[in-house]
Amino acid sequence: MTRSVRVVVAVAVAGVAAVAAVAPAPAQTPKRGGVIRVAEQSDPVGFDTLGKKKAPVYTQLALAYTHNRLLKYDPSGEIVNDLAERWTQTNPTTYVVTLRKGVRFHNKPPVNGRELTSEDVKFTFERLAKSPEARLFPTLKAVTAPDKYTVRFELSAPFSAFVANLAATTVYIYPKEAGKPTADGAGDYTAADTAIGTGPFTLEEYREKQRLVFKRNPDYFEAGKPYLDGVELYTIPDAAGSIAAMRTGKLDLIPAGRGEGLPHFLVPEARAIPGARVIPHGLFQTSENLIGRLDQKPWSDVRVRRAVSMSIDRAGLAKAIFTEGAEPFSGPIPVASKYFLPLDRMGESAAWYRHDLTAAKKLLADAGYPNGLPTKLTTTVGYGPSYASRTELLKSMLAKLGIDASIVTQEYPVWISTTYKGGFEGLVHIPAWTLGDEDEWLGSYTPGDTRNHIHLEDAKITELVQQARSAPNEAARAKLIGQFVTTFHDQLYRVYLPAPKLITVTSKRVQGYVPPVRGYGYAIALVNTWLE
Amino acid sequence: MRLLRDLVVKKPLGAVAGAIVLLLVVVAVFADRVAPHHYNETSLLDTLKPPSRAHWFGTDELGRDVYSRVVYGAQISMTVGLAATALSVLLGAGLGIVSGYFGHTLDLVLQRLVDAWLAFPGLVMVIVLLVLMGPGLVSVILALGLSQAFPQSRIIRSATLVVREHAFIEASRAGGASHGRVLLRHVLPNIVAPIIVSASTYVGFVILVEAAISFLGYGVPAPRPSWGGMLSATGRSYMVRAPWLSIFPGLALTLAVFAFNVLGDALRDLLDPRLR
Amino acid sequence: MVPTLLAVSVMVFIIMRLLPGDVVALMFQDLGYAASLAEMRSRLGLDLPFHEQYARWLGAVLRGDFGQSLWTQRPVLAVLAERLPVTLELGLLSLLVAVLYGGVAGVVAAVYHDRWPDAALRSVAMVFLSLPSFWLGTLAIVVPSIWLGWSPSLQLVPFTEHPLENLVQFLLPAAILGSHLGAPIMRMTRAMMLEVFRHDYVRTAQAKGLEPRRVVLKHALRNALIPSVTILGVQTAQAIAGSIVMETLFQLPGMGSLLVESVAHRDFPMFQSLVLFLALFVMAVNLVVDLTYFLIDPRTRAQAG
Repeated sequence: MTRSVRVVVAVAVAGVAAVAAVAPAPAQTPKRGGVIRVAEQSDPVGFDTLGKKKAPVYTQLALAYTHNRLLKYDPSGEIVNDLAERWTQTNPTTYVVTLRKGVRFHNKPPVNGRELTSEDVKFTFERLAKSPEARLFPTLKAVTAPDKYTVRFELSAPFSAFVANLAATTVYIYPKEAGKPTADGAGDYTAADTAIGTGPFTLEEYREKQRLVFKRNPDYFEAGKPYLDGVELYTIPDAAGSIAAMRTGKLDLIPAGRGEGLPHFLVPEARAIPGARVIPHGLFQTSENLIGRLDQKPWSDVRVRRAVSMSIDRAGLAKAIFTEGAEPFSGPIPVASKYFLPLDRMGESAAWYRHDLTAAKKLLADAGYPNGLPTKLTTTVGYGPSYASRTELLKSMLAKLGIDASIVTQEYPVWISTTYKGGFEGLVHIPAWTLGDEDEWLGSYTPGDTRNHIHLEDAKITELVQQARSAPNEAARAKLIGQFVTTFHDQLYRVYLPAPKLITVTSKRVQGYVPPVRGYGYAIALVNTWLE
Repeated sequence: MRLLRDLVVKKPLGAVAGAIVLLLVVVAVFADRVAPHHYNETSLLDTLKPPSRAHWFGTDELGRDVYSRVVYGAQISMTVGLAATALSVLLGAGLGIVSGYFGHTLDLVLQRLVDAWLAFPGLVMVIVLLVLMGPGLVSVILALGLSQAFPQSRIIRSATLVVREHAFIEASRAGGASHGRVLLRHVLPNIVAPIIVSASTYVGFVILVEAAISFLGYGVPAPRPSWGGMLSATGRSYMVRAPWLSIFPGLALTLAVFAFNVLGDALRDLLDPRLR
Repeated sequence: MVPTLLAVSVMVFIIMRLLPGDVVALMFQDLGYAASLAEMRSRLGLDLPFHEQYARWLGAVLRGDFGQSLWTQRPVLAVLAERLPVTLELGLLSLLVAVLYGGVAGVVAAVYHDRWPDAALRSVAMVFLSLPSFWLGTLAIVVPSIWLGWSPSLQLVPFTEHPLENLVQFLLPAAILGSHLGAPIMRMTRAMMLEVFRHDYVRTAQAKGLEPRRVVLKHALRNALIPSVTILGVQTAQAIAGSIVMETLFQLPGMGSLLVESVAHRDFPMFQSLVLFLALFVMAVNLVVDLTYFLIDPRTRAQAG
């Protein structure tokens, strides 16, 4: 018990410290002007989040500068209005959104600064229906625009994640005339000159694999903002390169939009930069985990999965690798989610997260493997070298249990086409996952869903997901999701590894930047940022 | 052999290089005796420690002994270097001798094939072959050996052409000797020297190429340590925090390639004085 | 030349199709929905039989249409046009460094042969040949950033905007690559100069009473140039391979890094066009080398004419 108390205390202290570090100094007033230089690991592949192929993360990140959604997440993760002035749910299957008045698109041809209307929203949802993002609104029946500033959404069945998905970072509102014409009328918004939205910044320049340059939108609907004159977003794939650039005064912000953020071992280097601020924070993603196919032996046996979980020295791993702090595990939904279940509320399942080799060996023996077993452990080079070295660490931990894991390293395209889609044997070291609303997390564990690479087919789980989807109110939904999470931890469908704090670094010029917890939207945080 | 004596006497630098090569081969073969730790012996308490008495080259981000990993890395580099070169010489000799000896249409066709292959940018060919075959030590050897076979074949073909002109070949054929016999008794012995020279210079090159593809992420995968792999992204990221992670593998790599190059040079000087 | 190009194109087409891993799956990553995947595949023409795909592609290429990148949907030629100047500049600067270094060092070594400057220069050349270029590159990036507070510019400055800054950016990778390429050039130059020193006409010229320095410059150098020029042809291919590593390390958006990216993305049209283009380039260089050879050496001209 003492260990979990320590963990909770550590998390609480870290949380308070994070908030304290992050809360802007009240006495300072924002200054207008200046161009902030930001590093990102990759550049956008096209500028369309509702196109025919899934929108890459970096595209979603880029559009956060130039476009708006109906709703958005504020830095703490709460849903707030963006282009919507207000919204109401008139009955379980109807939502009505009233748009802000006087919002203008960027003053660039062919849109030329005209006002945003409900027709644009209607058009956007028509595009959405023809794209992979249609999955976000599975029961959407009709979108109508009764007047210039009103949009009406009719569903065929209640969907509890509807409002949250309006804030998804792919559902940006597009102007119809900006896209290149296509046969199905959806328009092609891949080219940089079609990136015209209502957002706080306009896209001025795009040099592939080099940088994007954004300029302040003088007609942005939030008066007086953004404070910055512009943003230069540089593609720097190498974390050490970003630190070197900041050290020599060429960079102002290294954000943690997804994945690892700044690797923890580089933090001392970052701290050594005069005036730089290192901000550890959470992010809406799960942690890395080990999986085996639930429809194959031996991983179909819950005892084996529990044994594996108990052989992982999470505290040791976190201490050695995630020096800036980590949660001992995440779960089927992220730590930053309000439905997250910490150790002290897990009941009996907490036992499976203890590091106890003796108990683990006994479980394995009970399952019929007293002398351990050999297995494959598949990983990939595609997530960076530190990821692959963590796989090696896992191998040595498993070895102590008697599981002889032989590492198979796949090239990324092979990994994505086979292992990641569920075509594997033995164990797999899977990376952290970033999805949208909790409904997406839950949905990925239903049979037939292509993200269900663990091959989970559990009628009870499937029913819980369906019920949560059509839950009439928040309390009911919370209860159902809670049941889902509890079952998951009990059955250990995935063996979760520590969830590290993510690291954002700002230079001494940067003021007022609060790293957002949710969604690929640190561009939104830049609206409130200014430079000294 | 007389060659060995010549090496020591006339080219002392080459002899030293040869000794270094021998030492590296011995280390590679007996890596598990030479290295104080296993290459995957992680220790979460000892991560990123600088060089000390306990760890001569320091430890890496998982607490593994860098000295041991460099020693085991020698295994990969030596194995790949020697095996891939041997393979390329074998394949190249087959292609070059057949093409050069039989000549005419066969030569023409084969050489067009070689042209096409050589027009491919070299490194790309290796990467593509590796992707095709999947990661692994054997794949790396096959990919490197295959890609280097074609340039090798050109050299061997030229040497074969020179030998073919010699009168005793014609005489031998006129006397009724089969092609096989002629090849074995007359052609081969006379092209051995150029083969040795080109092979010895190639080993160093192959080792560097293996390091380069490991650097690009396509080499022998974890957990086997290879010098090139240690110099890639991990080593770079830790450059400021733990420079020993990349300095020692880099030095080892340079030393090995340098030794092979000097040895190759010395052998060339001894075996083919015209090129001096 | 044409049949070789054709052979290269077939080879590259076959190899690309054999590679495991599916470009469409890559595009859809963790969100593959059966309908979308199949639709995308048919839009890209990937569901047609092999030979039909090749015929389609070849036909398009012969019409000058190199297709679109599967990954970014941008026209291949546009991307190539953007990337070419970078690799060209890197290659030219590297070869310049190589020739300057190799030529000068080779001449000096030959003049002082078997004395200490010769041994020193040859050892240095050998070391350059043995150093892994990416290791040197890493050291060259990291060390100045700590000691001098200098790091490379975050993005490529085009030559047309700031010629000096642009050259500085290329200086480091060109110097590293050039030192690597220059070592064989130095050796060849030295060897040829020594060969020529022994040759009759040098002695004849000396007997005629010409100054030794003029002898060196006029006759020896010109004849030593021939195999050096030949080796330049070989070094060009090497430079392309070297640029792959240097561009990746220094994050230069050139054709070398594009090659690696297009393999990683299984971007067939891009990769195929790139390889064809590079093959064409290498063959063209070899042709030029042969021509230069013909022009420089009066003896071959005499033989031919």
